[in-house]
Amino acid sequence: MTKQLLQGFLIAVTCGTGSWAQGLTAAAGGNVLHPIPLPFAAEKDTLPLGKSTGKGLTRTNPADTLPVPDTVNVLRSGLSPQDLVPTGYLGQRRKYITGSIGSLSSAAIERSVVPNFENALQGRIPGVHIIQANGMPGSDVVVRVRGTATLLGEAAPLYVLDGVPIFSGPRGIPAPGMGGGWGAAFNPLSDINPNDIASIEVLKDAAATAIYGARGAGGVVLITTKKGSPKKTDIRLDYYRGVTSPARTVNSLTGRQYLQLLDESWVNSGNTGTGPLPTVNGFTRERAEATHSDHLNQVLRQGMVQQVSLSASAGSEKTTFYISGSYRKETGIVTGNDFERATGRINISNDISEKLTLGANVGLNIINYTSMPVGYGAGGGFNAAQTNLPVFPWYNEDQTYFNPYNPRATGLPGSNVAAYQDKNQFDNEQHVSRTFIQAFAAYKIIPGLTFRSDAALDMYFHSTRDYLSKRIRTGSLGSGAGREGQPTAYASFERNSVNGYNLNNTLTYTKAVRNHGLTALGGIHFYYSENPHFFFEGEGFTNDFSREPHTASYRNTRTASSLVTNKFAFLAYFANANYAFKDRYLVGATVRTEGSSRFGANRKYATFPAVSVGWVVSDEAFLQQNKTINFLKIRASYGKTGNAGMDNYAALEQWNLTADSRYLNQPGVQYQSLGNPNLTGETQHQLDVGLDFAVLHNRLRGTVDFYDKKTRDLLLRYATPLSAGITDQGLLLNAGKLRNRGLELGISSSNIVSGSFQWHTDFTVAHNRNKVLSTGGLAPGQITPHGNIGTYEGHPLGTFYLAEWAGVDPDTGAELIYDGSGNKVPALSAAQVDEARVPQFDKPSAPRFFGGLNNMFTLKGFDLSVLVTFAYGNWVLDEGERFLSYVRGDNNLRAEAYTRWTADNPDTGYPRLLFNDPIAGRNTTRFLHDASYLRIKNVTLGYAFAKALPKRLLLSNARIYLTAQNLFTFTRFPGWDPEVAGNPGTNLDRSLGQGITYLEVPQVRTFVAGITLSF
Amino acid sequence: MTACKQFIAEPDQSIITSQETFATVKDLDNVLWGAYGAVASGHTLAGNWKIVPEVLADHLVMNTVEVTSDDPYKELYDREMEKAQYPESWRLGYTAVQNANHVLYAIENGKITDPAFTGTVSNRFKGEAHFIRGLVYFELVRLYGHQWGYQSDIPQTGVIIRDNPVLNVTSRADIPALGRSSVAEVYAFVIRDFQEAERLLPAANTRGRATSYAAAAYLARVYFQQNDYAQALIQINKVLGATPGSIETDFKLVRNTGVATAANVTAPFTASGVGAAVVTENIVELIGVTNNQISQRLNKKYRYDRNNPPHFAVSPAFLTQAGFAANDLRRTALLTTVGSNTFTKKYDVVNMNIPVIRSAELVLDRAEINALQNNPADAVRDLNLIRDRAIPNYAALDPANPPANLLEEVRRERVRELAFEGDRLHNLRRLQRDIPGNRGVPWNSNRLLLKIPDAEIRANPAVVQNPD
Repeated sequence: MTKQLLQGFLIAVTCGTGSWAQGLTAAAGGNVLHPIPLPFAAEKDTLPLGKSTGKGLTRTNPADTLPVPDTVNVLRSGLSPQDLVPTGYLGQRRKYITGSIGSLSSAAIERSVVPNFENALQGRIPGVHIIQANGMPGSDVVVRVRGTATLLGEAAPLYVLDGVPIFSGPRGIPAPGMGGGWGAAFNPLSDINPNDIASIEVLKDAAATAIYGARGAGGVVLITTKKGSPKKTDIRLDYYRGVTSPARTVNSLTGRQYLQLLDESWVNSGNTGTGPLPTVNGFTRERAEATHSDHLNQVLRQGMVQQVSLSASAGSEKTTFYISGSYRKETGIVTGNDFERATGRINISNDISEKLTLGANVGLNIINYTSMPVGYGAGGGFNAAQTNLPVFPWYNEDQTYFNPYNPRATGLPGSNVAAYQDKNQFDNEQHVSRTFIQAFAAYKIIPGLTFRSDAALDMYFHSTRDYLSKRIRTGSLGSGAGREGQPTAYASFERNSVNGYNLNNTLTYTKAVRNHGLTALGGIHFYYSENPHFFFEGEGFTNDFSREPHTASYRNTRTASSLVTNKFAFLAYFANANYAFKDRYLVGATVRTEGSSRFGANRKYATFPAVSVGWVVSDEAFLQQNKTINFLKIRASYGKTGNAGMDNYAALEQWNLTADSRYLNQPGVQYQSLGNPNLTGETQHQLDVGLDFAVLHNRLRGTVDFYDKKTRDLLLRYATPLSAGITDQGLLLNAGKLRNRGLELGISSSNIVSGSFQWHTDFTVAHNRNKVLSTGGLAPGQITPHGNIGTYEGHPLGTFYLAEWAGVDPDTGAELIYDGSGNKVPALSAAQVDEARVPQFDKPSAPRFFGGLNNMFTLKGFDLSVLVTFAYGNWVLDEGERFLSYVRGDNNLRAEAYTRWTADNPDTGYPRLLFNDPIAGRNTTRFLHDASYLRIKNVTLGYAFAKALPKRLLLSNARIYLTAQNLFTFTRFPGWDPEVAGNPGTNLDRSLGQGITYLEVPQVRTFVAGITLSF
Repeated sequence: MTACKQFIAEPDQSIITSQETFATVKDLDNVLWGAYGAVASGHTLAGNWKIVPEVLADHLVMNTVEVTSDDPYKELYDREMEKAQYPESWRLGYTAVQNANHVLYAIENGKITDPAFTGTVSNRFKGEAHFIRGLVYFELVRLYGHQWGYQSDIPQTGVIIRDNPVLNVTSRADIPALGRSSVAEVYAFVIRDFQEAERLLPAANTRGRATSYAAAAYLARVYFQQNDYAQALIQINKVLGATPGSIETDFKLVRNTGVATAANVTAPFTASGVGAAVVTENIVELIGVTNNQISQRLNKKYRYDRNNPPHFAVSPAFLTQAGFAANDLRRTALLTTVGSNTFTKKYDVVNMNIPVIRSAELVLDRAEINALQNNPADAVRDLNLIRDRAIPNYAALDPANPPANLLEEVRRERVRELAFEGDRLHNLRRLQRDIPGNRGVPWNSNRLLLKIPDAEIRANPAVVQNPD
């Protein structure tokens, strides 16, 4: 059990007559692995190294006529991942798997030189949609397995590290305080060193995920870390360094252009003279005319990335270990956005006796991170760089920072980008650490029967400090005389912790008798998580040096949720059996009963069954002699999984203390939120029919899956009357229904394998169709608070609800929309645009197709790979473009505004500019764009010195490589980047708003050079 | 395993569930405190409910406009009632009602098994619950419904009456989608609540909480608003004693013996905390303490501060109407003029107690009733009582020789005495007098009615919105 996952290993079996079989071929350098099925399988998990008898070997294909060898010489040992795939609590040989599971090997992960492991999955596993939210280091990655299957639940998959569910976000409590939510959402999994990963399995259908019961509905990502192997020492050093730059830049107007358009719009709106500038002390028209601040240029810079990782794996016959350490440093393309990561890992396993194995996997990861404001957040980051007036200077004449504050407005954070780059004025400091400790014991009770116990602790801390000096902000309301609305410094400290405690006990039984093969598993899983959260803020400090919130002269003593514990627990009993008859008729069954503290009192436990069947057709007599079809398996599964990704206390009626419930310092309580004892997780019923095949001497391998999954008991929030007197007006009910249906295709082709030149191609593509079947009687607008998105029965989630834009009237320059009767009319008021809204069913926010194409070429020591990823048929609403398209007097416009309609330029797609255009706040399809893209995601050229290395260097291999990421993007999307994930704060936003972007940092183009040394 | 199961079955200590709210007397007491908290909020009686009737009337002018997320006072001032919604005030009012209903439900259904829960405590709790519920419905019906007597029997003219707590909800039907009762029904309900409260409450209670006098005084206010003079007089006399021209109970007007000093008239507006000397004339007041201030909203609206100018200044019309004597302390001590603007100083203390009903109000009520009911001598006596405190060296009127314009004088005295305390709009509507001035509207104009918050109507289609 413990040694099956030695990924990247060569299995070479030689027998007396010479070497004729190997499990994996390796390209020069030993890094590029391509599976070729072994003609023999070992009964034992591993064969000892060196010469031994052929006893225990059986033919993989019973029809083979090859004689079983008398003696074998095992050069390297271990079953390859192609042979034994982690499937949740156990490993199974791929041939016998009847569920839908996608895998990615360590070789592919390492080669992709990615900042986080999720990124390495992009385009590599059919049906798994990966969106890197933006180009900021440490920023979130959106992962959707077979579409979005929930509204209010967690849509992301469950992440399981070496058998233990780990914290993967999102944070349970929204970031509080002044700077809370300013930066991009942080990816809690970015602390994991991708080089430590031996393989990633994505469990997709019910047969595969039912073993994870109430948490399996979003798919399950199994991360298996590297382990040592007996009698083999591997030391690897990898270093790379590179530069990053924005994949694309969209400029705003220059100062001169802005003033010209301001004056023009002012006159267009029926005024005379020059347009008004914001009223700021000492700021005059004259000053504006002399100022040309290129805020974007000030904020953007060339970024840098470097990473060094060192790993050693070794083992005796009884003990194996894997030790690694890594350090990564990134400076983002937005000044002030830096990321630093250090990781360490020790995986150790010891056979105490023939029967007992003990081991531990320990990981310690630390991140230091500083973020800058982006998106909807306030402040002076990437967002302000686009919106700030180009005629606003950075400095006053006395070299102090220019801060156009309005003393009437309290709690204003300022937006001077130069000041925000100065750590003395704005300082965001984040520290993240994850300590993962897992200990396990496996005991072989009798042959075939193994008991295993896993205890693990996943401790995650994320602390954030924010400091805003008095030069960039004004005091908040209630902070006291002399501070309210006056320059006042602010500091906050937050610590968000997640402690996950895990206990698994399993009993596994495997038995093979003649035509019967059985693997049975039973177990208990307990998971407990607490989320202690601490927050403190203060304002008004004696000087710039003092930044501790507790030294502030005003402290908000009523800060909501400044300390909560926020707990949840799962308890599950599960069983799984897989039976193979004659090695080709396969049946599997899983059942898991799981209880959660999150579920209502009347429905604490839920049961998740799944059944699956498989037929290895190629083992049938009629195909055995077939020279074309080498392998063919048909499989089908149906089952049920759950989504318990809801608020920890959603089922409970909650009372709480609020600022308005305390009176006379007494702990007065008020009804905060409704509960529902009948509330339970969502359930998902999924049918999967799949085909795995290998043809043409195994050179073309593939998998095809059709799935149909229905989410029932879909959580919906019903608005309750304010007059019920409850602070949060929402009643959660399991009332809706939705469906995801799709087709997935994955192809691996070894186009050229003979000789020194090799060419391999991997291609994945998936089509998913999402459809809301029932909204439980709620009207489209009642489901989402976002006015630009509606949820309609019979249509996909995240349908845009926007007025149809009809271009520009060439005679007047007026912005036109289609009214209710389909006539082109000038858009004159916000109410009129709202009135004209229609659901945009033909412009979905989720792609119709997505996937990737990877080509790899090797010639002698050289290797070249090109990965192209694509998404087709999705639309993105660029709210940032909308914001930067209208003159309000206090915001800049995109450079494109210069092509606006004028009498001399009547044939343009850009309307005439008006000052304070009444429709300025309204989105129309003018800002909704086809965001289909095809991106050259990764190009890597490497050279391995394997054969050219002198012995005295002790090097077994050395490889140098050059990698370019996001080299080029083909898209018609006019904004910064077509690959967006929004900047969502809630599950609902994540489910619906994935096609909305607002002033977010684009993906970065990265060029790195690196070297890998193996000893 | 049993230990593990507990984690699944039992809520942890991070939250307070409904069960926890009636485990002991203390728990139920906290529900009551929560009700007081909801009433003593800037969104409700320590703020908007006192501010809105002034903004909609004629005594204020806009001083500064500030963008405030939950306070569309500019729109309110401009009578754009559709935009000037106060959903949080509405919600918090009903939160107080929910808590009051919760307490009554717990007591009436014997939920409290705590031995400390004696009959005395039970009566006090019930009385406080009735008091708070009556208070909220009365203040709401005055803001969302027309003056009593004008279309009062038409359904959907008042507010929604909920007299059961929301508890153990498993479906939408568990929160009844109730429409608005008529104004008359709400008044009837309010009167019953105050009568119950008066019957059940003790004469003295923890400072800041309701007493039988508080209930009686509020009931007086209700009857007076209905122009039900007989009933109002009965209630007033219960609180003040039956002798016009004097206050026989403890609720005496603050007065430094013999000499009228500025401290006398400012006293109701300068106290803070429970430790401060009791301001005798405050029959109902909300208490602010250092870590639990309640006056920020009122400070922001009225308190003059050079760096943070208040939202409102006093209107010239007010000064004309009041026609203060030059030495009237209410002019000299409670108003301040900066430049061309005059500001009230009634909310000039940061962190102050908020008076809700002062005995002066009841004295003026009684004076008006007596003037109307042809008891001019008694009216003069009460008028003297008020003036004597406010005007140094006041030459008292002779009760035997009342002025010809006595009623007008009494009503003018009300303007002087109760200015900016949330009385003006209600008083004009009670008298069926149109709101004067350039923002003037008829007394029964729909533009004097707050709109039921949109969120209420979206979730509860049974509710009919106020007409435009």
